[in-house]
Amino acid sequence: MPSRISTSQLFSNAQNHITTAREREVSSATKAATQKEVTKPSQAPAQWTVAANLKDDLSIRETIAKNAKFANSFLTASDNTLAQLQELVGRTHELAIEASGSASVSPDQYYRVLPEVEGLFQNVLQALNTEFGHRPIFGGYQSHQKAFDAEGRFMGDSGKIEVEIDRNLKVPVNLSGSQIVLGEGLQRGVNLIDTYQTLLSGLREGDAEQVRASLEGLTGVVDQFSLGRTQIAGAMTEIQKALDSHQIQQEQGQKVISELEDADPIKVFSDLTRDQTVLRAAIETNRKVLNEDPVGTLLK
Amino acid sequence: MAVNDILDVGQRGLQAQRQALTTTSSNIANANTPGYSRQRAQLANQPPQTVHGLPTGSGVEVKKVIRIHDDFVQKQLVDENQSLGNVKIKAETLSRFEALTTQEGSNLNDSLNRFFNDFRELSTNVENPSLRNVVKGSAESLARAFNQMSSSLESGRRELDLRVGDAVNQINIDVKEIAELNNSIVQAQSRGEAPNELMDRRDMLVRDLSQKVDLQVTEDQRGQVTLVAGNAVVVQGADHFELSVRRSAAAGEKAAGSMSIFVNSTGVPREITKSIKNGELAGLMQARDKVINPAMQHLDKIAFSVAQKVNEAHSEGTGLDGVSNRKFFKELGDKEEHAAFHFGLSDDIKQNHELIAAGQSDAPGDNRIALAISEIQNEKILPATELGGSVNFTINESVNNLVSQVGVNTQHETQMFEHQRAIVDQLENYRQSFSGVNLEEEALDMIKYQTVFNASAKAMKVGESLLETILTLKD
Repeated sequence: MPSRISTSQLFSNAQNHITTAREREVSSATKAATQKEVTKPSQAPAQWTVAANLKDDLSIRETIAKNAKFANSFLTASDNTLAQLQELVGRTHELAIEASGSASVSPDQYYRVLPEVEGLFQNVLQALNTEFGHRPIFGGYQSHQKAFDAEGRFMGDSGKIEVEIDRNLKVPVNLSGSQIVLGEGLQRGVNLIDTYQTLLSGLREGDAEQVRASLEGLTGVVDQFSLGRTQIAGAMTEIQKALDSHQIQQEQGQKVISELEDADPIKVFSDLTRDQTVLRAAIETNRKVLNEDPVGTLLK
Repeated sequence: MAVNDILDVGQRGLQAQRQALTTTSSNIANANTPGYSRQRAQLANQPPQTVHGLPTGSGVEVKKVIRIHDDFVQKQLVDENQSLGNVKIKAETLSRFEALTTQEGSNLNDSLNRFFNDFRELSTNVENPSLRNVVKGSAESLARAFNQMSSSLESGRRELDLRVGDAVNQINIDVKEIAELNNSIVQAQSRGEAPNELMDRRDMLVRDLSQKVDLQVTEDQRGQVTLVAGNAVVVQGADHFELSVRRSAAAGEKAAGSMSIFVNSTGVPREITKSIKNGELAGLMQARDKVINPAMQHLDKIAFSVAQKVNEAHSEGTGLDGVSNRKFFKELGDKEEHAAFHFGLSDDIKQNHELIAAGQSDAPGDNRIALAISEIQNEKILPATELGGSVNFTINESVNNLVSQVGVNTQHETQMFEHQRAIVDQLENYRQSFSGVNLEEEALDMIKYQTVFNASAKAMKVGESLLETILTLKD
């Protein structure tokens, strides 16, 4: 049944049509301008929450990845130092063998070797005090002083510096001098400083027995360093895996956030065009309806 | 029949058409008046006279001017307006509240990320004094974010309470006027007048009032309405009973100090808060008690947990001065209430960033505590009670849940509002269609009444001419 239309209905309907069309146009224009489909939680609460959680995760991962790279650099420095130490100890081992090579070694031969061994020992001490970012790499938590003093006394502690390389995953980045240099806590651990002291004493006193005794220690220290380097390699592999994982998470996270939040440009612009057309049609139609003046015509 | 009768019939015709034209003019004048119901002059022929044994018409009269009005639509509008007012105020309030929580929540999460990330950075370089200063700075930012969000929520709650007071004042103005109109309607009817305009005005006020509060309307035979808001009579005949607001103790979801509603019908104010379940007034209280209060409690829980967890870890560490067992954040006691508002750094840390305990020992490179604090961000320490689940959430997830919960409520109320608005628009459209003025109709009525008015004048002219002819015969 055709309904009766009151005059005020004509105006309120016109107002409703134009307001609705304008609201839709503004909504489409906002999406077109921001290129965002979701700008507030109420538009899609579940999507918004997922995107917000992902953004937090990415922010946390950014710092963790930075720390993982720091850990990697720290371990690389430690590995280089151990490699250098292996060379120094290796050379010392050669000299010790050379010095103890024959059954009848004269004191002159020891004296010839001694200065080089002393020099090597100083180089070893220098390497043991290598710093990374003003922090001695073998000093444990005692980062305010050298790891070893001039006599080779250990000044650090056994503190294990851990770094978070992934969410809920930490790796130790340092090898404490007490373990890697003094052999504490290791099965058949060798004390590098004591070994050098024995060798130097043997060379100074012309004591072949002491020189020979140091040989086994020097071999053990090289093995100890190899073990340390293996540990470092293991940690670096973990770190690399974590960094790769961060990279993947970052890329995937950004992609998912984009899928959840970003607007499809083609759809947005076609919606905007449609809404603008609807608005123009609403204005034009209502102009035609409201411009009619039947009352004026009737009462003329 | 005397010739004079022709003049009388003509005169009655002129009077009736004039009155009908007046009604039509009034309709045209009120075409845009809100709440106006078009009126119709109800014309009726006068009882016939018997002249020479034959029934003879004696003209027309306006029996009454009726108001074109549909009681059923009025009742439906009153019913549906209550829900419209309720969801409208909630949708409006929550939309504003959503913008605030999204912004503040995002700020809070950024601050949380900065705070924990700075502790992460500190854990890789604990000797660096500038990093401790950075941690202190980000902790202060975090405290500000908690305080600001808490203050904003509290402002939102206070604003809603003020609006509860305003709504009650507006209701009191309406009920007073409705009671006065009840009285005027009865008086007009006793004088034999048609109180059409008064009834229009009263009906419109009742419709408006129904948006503000849930209302039961009953009309007696004399045309007076009785209004019951919640479970309290607020209008009865010419009497009205005002509502009042008063701050009250915490009850259920209502926080302490929130406004409650009372009615003053017996001289002793009686609380009716719980019985008000619909309309704007209920919407304001529901937004306050079911959205803002839980959000504040949720925020307090997060702030309390952050302070507690960080303090627990920090107390086990040692500052650069070698002293341990210090709190990082201010102690908040054992109550979560207002934790976000009071959240802040402990006096020690505020004064000296060197007292931040990054390690368990006083060794300068010990980073165990900094690491432990940064890991709190990964822990699922907050219960998901608000979601009814058993899975716990991390701090960030919990902040996001707080914001998204407001989003869910906003989405729900906005959808409900759109739905309810469509229903009320349809009813209002029907009311307008039935009771509204159509200018074309009125123009045609004007022509119709004008034509009869002119014809009646002509009839009188004929009567006059007849009379003159008769008078001439005597000469």
